[in-house]
Amino acid sequence: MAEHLFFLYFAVAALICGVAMVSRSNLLHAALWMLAFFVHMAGIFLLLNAEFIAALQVMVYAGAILVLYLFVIMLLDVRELAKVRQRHASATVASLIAGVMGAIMVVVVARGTFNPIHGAATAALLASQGNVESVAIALFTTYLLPFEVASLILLVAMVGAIMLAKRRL
Amino acid sequence: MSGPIPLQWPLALSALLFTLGVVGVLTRRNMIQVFMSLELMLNAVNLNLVAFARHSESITGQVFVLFVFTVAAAEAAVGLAIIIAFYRNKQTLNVDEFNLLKW
Repeated sequence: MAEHLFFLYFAVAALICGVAMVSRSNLLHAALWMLAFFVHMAGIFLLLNAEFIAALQVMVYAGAILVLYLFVIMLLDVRELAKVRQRHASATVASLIAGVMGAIMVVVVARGTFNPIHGAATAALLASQGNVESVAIALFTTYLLPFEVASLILLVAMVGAIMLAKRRL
Repeated sequence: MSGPIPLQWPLALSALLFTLGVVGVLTRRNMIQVFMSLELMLNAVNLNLVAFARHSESITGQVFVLFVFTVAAAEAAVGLAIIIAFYRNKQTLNVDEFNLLKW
């Protein structure tokens, strides 16, 4: 019961933060709403038996990515940014189409029935073994190659970002 | 309302957040805010993965979220570098001005 109430709180708060983030025209305000959104999403992950993901959400998104955004916003001239006319001419049509798409998705999800699937990683096992250990075992055995490729992606992104942002090489 | 949270709840929330991200990408002109909306969509996808990981009692979904995190971090770094390079050349962040490859 308490679980359900917490989920509802986090869901409503995440939606409000998302709406505020998309609708603010002041970029700094939008970035701070994004921070609140990430933290509430971490709460939802916590409720869905994904403690490790929740911790990573706070560290990677709310920590690293958000600071990167704030740095870039503060590097640029905010008064110049305010002059950007905010809405497209076709914004209404685009929002309508996206809204219909979202409504269809919600209806399909709400009307669907999901048969229970029984796998190895039950909630009891996750509770006794620990969520971090379970993810780590899967990550370093079954998914070792994708894990290494992910580090390569990060290296390439790092080099690429430096190359792109540097004035002259 | 007893027992665990039903699968439909996170899925519906994820659909709403994804829609919000699509609206942001389609309607905002500021390139940084378009990128923020992209992060919203990535988070919605992560929520779906975690919800199904719990539903199917498998850890694979959570491992996959890690890879989505990696790609999101790489995307943010490279994207913001492109934004800086673009701003340096054009003095604006309007996506409509992002037409250097058009002829």
